[in-house]
Amino acid sequence: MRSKGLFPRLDESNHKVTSEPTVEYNCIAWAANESDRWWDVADGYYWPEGAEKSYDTSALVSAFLVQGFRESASASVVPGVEKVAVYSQAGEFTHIARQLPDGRWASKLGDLEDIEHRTLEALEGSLYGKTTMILERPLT
Amino acid sequence: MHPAYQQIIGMGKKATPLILAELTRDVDHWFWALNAIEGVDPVPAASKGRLKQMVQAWFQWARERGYEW
Repeated sequence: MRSKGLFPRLDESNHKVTSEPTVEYNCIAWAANESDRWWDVADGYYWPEGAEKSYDTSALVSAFLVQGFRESASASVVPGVEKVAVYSQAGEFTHIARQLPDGRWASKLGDLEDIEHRTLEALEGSLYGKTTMILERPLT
Repeated sequence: MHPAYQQIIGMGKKATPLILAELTRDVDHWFWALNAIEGVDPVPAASKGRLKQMVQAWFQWARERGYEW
């Protein structure tokens, strides 16, 4: 696992690796259930039409708001509701994870692997900062 | 930005064929540097974020301008 060491709170008991490393997509795409393109505000990459283009946390939030998400009061599982968790550091977004139906979270770690992790805190630290917002939308 | 990446951008257009050669070897995120150096984004809307297609768009753009790598 190439990501070992980057996330000190990850251990064998709280996550599993679910893919090989790839540069084909990133955490934002993966949170949006896509695995064939890299979402980024930089020129040349995909970014949703109408979303704010910057590295501020508000830009990542807006990229999901334009897809029908809204701010959620909690990270708890609600049947029929899809949730994503935004990580930020110093006002800039660093990561986004997608909730799985059983309450675990799916994350693509940059250009490394996909993982499933039991808690949001498992990825918090000096690299990703903290979870700063939960967004939700009805499952279609 | 990583200092090495910054230095490459600082090389200006001399870096473009080197980056293109690197993209021939390994698809990676050199597009920000190419955009910064060349001041253009030749990637068509349908290819945005699709790295292999982004590479091909840059190759085509560079060939049309006489770049060799």
